[in-house]
Amino acid sequence: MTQNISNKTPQEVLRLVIEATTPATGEGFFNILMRKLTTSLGVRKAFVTECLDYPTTRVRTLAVWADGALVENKEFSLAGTPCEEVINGKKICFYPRDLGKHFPLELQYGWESYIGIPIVQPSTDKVMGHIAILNDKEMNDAILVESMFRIFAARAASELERLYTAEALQASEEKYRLLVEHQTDLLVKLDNKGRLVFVSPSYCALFGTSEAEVLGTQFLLSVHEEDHAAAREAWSALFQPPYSGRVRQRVKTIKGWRWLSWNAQAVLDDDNQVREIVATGRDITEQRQAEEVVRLVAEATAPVTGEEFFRSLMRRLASALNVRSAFITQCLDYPPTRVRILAYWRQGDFIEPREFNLRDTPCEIVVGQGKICYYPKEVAKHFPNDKGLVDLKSYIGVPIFESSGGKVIGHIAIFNDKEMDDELLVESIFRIFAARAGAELERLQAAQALRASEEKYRLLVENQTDLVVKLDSNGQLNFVSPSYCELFGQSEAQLLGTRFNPLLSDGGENQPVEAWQKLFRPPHSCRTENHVLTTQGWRWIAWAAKASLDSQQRVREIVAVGRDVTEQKRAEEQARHHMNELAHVSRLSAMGEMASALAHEINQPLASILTYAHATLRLLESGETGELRHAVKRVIKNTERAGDIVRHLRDFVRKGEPQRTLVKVSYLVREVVRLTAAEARQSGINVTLDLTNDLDPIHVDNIQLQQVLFNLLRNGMEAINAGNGDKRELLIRASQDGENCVEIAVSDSGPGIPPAIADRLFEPFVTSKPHGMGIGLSISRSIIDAHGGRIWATANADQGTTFHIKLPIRSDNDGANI
Amino acid sequence: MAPTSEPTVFVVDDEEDIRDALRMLLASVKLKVETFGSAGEFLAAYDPARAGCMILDVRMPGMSGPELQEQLRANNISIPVIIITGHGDVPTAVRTMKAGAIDVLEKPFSDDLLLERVHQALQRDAALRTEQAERDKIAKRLARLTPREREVMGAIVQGKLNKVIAADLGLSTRTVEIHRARIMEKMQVRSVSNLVQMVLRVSGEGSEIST
Repeated sequence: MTQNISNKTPQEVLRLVIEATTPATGEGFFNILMRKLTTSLGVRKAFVTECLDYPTTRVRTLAVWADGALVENKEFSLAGTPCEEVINGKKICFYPRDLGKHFPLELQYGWESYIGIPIVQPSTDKVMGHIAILNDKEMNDAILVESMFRIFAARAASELERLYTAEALQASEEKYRLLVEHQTDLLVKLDNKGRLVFVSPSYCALFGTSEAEVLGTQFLLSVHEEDHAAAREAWSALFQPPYSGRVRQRVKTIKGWRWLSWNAQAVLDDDNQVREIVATGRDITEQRQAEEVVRLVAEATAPVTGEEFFRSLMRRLASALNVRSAFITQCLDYPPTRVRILAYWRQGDFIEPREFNLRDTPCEIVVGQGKICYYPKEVAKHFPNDKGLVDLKSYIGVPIFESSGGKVIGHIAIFNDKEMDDELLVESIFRIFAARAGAELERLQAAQALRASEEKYRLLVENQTDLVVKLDSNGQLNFVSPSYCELFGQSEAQLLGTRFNPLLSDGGENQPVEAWQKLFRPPHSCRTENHVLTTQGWRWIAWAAKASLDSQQRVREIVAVGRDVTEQKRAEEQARHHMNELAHVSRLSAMGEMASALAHEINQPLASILTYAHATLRLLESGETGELRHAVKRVIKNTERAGDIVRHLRDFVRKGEPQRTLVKVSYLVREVVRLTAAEARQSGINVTLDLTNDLDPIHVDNIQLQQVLFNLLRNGMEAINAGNGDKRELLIRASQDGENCVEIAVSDSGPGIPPAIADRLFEPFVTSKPHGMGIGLSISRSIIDAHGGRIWATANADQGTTFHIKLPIRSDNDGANI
Repeated sequence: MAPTSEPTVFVVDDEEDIRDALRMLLASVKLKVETFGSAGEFLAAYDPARAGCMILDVRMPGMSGPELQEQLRANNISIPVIIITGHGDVPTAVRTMKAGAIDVLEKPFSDDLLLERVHQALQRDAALRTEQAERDKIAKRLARLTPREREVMGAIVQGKLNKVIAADLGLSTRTVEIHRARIMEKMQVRSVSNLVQMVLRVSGEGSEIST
């Protein structure tokens, strides 16, 4: 069993953990984790739990793997178990043997050894659960088991905290792979007396010898004396089944003491006697260092979070790489130009964190381009403007990425006053640190966001008159706030389990059902308003609902927050009423101002009618009836025309409730142009239309929109009349902006808007006209606002002003105006 | 230049129905009518030799009625004009009347009034054209005089005696008498008073007659 454990290096464990758990989350994740734990440590049982109470007396298993199969989860009491020590003592407990002596309760199951590790939530430092393994044999090699165990625990903890470290870890795993592949294996063949019969060039190179020199000599290396026993043991293992051996030993080479890992296999003859031995060796010095780093990172950082975490990480990094300084930063802006140092270890001490500008520093490349930046020597030459680099020779910086988006959120960098070599090792160690730091940085940010939202939620619930309900995916209430009960005069017990109608019932309208459906597709939220009978009478309640999803992206539950908006609606209603009144008055007064032009407009058909009638009479008297039919037809036509003008005027000055219908933009514009045609003609202004074909109809109040356009057209004409320009042009353009908006622009060739009033243009009683009231534009804006649109003015390039209206084709405000 | 053709009423208005209705009305009293949608259209087609009058709208795109009226005057075209307007503002009325309009009629107008004004206008046109024909005749006669004869004629019109004229011009009395007889003959007048009348009639246009 000991053999079994030592066969797995921490790297392999790391790889296993990553491979096993990358795609899985939740329950699946823990199942896999436990299975891998038992197989990699060669034990019979492993399980992970979460605490059910605090201080913890009971836990529930999240996954139990025993004897090669998944076992059903259960809750159990901690009393009298080693788990109690793990969770309440918040420490690793390791009983390599004789478990029954310490915990008689466990004796009945025949367990000999136990190891348990708490899963600690870094942000709160609270134990969330634990992982434990049990075996019916003794466990040795406490350090190795423990350090592997920590890796599992860390992984479990991050899963419980829903941290996405997998991506980052995968990056470091990738580096490991490179590290391993770039190694040149040593290969030797020995006869059964231990004499060398073959050596690979790499072997000769490592030991500074030649093939000729060593062949035929005894395979004897200068092995570190601490490793002698293991070497002897491995050698003897080759002469009995399974005729193979592994050993790790420190050996003196021309590069100094190196860790070598040997894997030897005996080749047998027909009589099952050892004929020769093939051994492959690998320099694992860097690997050992990397393993050490993994252990250090795990050990150093498991219990700490926040600033302390980063400090600890930087100190470990500097010492692991034996460099002078190491620091970690967080980006302050995006795209990044400034960073804040979170922890800075320099020459054996922490120095005060500060912010700095990235310009002209190597960090700028790391953070700005999101790539590793490595200057093994002469870094100061590359960045002459960076004063911090004086006296320094080498630099390496690694960006820290947001796990989900790939956005750079900070970086880690080290400096040294010596040159650096062994890029691969440094970089891979570095990656491990960056991954760990990234997870923490993200966790910090997430924790902050969570705290903020928790705070918000707490305030909401505490201060509310707001209503809060929770529903299951069938729309049944499973939580109601006291305010909700109060408003509807029903108890919680009466309400729970009933259907929540504001989102569900169609009640003859389509909106609530549509709102409900919105919850089941991204972004899984909706808003709706309902008029409901409460203990305070009929009230308007506005609901905002949001669904939360499970790991399969199915709606798990829905939280809806409701607010009584009756007063608000009443105020809106009143404001709208005032606006309508004002709009009406303004239309009347505009008509008054235009009376003479309009009289002319009506006079034209009247004059035609009268003249045709006289002519008709004369023709009748003279008996020449040839053209009579024609004359009468023209009389009818002109009478209709006069009638149209009158009807149009009456509509325009009519006082009525706003009513939204689908209206063609071209129709709107043409109607208003007709209303103002007489005035344009009188003023000698040329009105040009540029209407894009195929504009979608817009959902608006026809008269109100005409009023806005009318105001803009008349303003434009008045501006032209006020100026002395020869150019007397009014241009009306309408175009569609994608599928969502229609824009109408009215451009005049007047003298432009006086700067003094430019920014208050849409306020009431602001005007540049000698006789203007200054309400036209303010009413126009109210109308456009009520339609969910926007109105603004721009100065033309040559002369004059353009007023723009942008209106949504489908207004979300539709409901508000009913 | 002979105003022999039948007089025509030229209607200029941008409103098609007004033009059409006026055409019918005028045709119903057997008047010859031609209609135009704008001042420019009219100017392009109009021959000043044609007798007639004009019914002119005030507000039109491009050149307005009063502007057309002024342009005709500037070109010595004296066709009588009746102004019609959708909206009788006083300044426009005054301006057009001063410029010689027969009348300004506000739309809608009575047919009797309009027709009466049209007839007045046509009469005035006829009178103007007769007058013009007379003046043309005199001008032709004047053109036949020699420079010396014109000089002598100017003095005669001023009522100077032959003796005085002879002294003024350094001629003999006899020579002046011969000139006088030639002038009376060329101008086809029998008495000096007839000659004076004739010269006064054209004195508005010919500068060479004035002293």
